[in-house]
Amino acid sequence: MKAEEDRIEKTLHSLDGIQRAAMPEGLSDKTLSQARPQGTSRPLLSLPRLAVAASVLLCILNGALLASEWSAASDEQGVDTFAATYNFETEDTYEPFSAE
Amino acid sequence: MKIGQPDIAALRAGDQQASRALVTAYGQQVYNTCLGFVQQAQDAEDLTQEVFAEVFERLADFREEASLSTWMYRIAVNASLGFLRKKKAKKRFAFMSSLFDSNKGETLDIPDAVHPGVLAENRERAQVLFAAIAKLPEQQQAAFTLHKVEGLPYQEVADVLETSLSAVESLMHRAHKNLRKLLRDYYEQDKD
Repeated sequence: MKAEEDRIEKTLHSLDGIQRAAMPEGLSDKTLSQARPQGTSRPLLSLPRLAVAASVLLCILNGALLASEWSAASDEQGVDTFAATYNFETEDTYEPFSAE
Repeated sequence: MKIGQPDIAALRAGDQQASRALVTAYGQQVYNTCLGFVQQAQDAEDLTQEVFAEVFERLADFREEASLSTWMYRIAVNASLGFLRKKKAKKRFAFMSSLFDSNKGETLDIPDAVHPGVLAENRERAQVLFAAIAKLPEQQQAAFTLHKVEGLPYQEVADVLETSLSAVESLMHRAHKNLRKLLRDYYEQDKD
């Protein structure tokens, strides 16, 4: 049991005195050629920006289409629905009083 | 060597010389951090390139609230943990099949390679320790690696992980506890 605990303890301390690994030769050049510094001037049009703009436009367009459909439908049905709700007559059933 | 304000301005302007100076100054730090997590030299090289690509891309967002070194550590740690996450996901099928295995004990994947900075007499034990570290939850893994491999003091680990000093102390305590358990299980299985 003691031997096992010693083994665990030694393993836990096996990183003591670890040295920094040297960077492989040529990695700096490879890194610089791969990761080109771009500066702060980012392109105005980038793929994520375009995607966001397109989805926003689509939402607005969709909303506008739905709104126009609903308003057309409510124009047609508005009076009838209102009359049905409040039990109004929409037909002209007025009979003038005849003074016979 | 720390890069000061003027160099950051030059980097932001896309100056090639400043970029070279940045890679020269922080290349080893980034490579070593990545290697501490992934253990394989080739993976660490690929990650180093990815980290610098991200650094150059995000320089405009660097608000200088932390030091450049801390910020770069943060990017390197996130990239390394992301890499390990992807690697684990690839192994998911193997893991699923291992669930049906009769051997339910915690197994360690001992890496073929070990960090070249480990002292020769500790290499074998360090391989086992690195395998155990890989089994820790991400935050514990990050805290333990930054402290033990990179030699960062707890306060700097806290800055890199954007947490408090007491949280790092707690992470280290839990990491030690979990590592002891993992190592005990491993050595018990090894005996059989």
